[in-house]
Amino acid sequence: MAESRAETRPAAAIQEDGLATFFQQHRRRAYLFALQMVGDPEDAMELTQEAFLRLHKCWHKRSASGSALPLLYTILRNLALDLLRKRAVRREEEAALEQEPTPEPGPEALASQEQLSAALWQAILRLPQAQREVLLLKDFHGLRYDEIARVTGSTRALVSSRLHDARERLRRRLARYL
Amino acid sequence: MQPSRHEQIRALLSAYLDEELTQADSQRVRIHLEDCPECRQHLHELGRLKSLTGRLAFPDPPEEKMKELERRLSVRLSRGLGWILVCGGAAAWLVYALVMAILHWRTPTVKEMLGGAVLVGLLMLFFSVLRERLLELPHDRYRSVKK
Repeated sequence: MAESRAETRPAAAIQEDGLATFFQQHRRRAYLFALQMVGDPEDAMELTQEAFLRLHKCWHKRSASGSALPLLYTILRNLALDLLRKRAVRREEEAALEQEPTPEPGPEALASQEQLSAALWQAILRLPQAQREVLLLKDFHGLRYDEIARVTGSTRALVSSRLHDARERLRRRLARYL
Repeated sequence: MQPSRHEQIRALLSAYLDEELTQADSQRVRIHLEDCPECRQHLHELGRLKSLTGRLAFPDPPEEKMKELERRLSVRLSRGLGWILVCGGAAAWLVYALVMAILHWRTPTVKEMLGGAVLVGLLMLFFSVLRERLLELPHDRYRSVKK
């Protein structure tokens, strides 16, 4: 995913060790990953801020190649999972009824690319969380298997297996439209 | 029961698509695909799914929100540096003043007393903020989150 926006000049206080440049380059993708994980724009913005603050604290721990991207995704993922856990607890406490997933649109509604994308996103949302995050990290954010394994604290083989399962599920669900 | 040849190959198609297979496995898949239209179709569908997922459109974060985020980060990060400078400087000054007081005890001048008052004031502010942070710690929503 390419960053397409014209970026503003970085603030003086975060101009250290390339962190300011990194912030400018990856703030949008960080926000989108947070949004994909938690679904709410306000929460996504808050998680993005918290993630960059934490990244600043452990900036020296980035990989030898200098890329801090897997580290940023790891922090974001942990923050998002924590928020999702708290939401689940809150839902249980409130004894709220689980919301039915939005039904997939029928073939007539899938005439346009946008509607097919909407159907795909609904199908992705119905994947188990572990499969969904691997799929998004690979196909939307473009990480390699070994990077995804680091982000999710798993192994390369498990990443490969989860990705295979996720794609097969999506393929079956959207088979009529592929 | 042993998985069929098709099943074995299909289990590898996802990683083949991502160019994440070993050279040997990749070669095995390529040879199979040459003679198997069904698996080629399967791979085509996986490729289309991958492409569609990569092009999913999400609303951009509002630029104003991003600028606000940058401002908030800037403020919080510069505050941290400021506290380090204030505390480090105050500690060094305190040690120096104590050593000088022990070595050359005399009644302090007005200038020294004013400087001391500023130092003590800064230390009181520091401990007040530190106490507040410690009291807030149990309510920090991200406290338990690992980096």
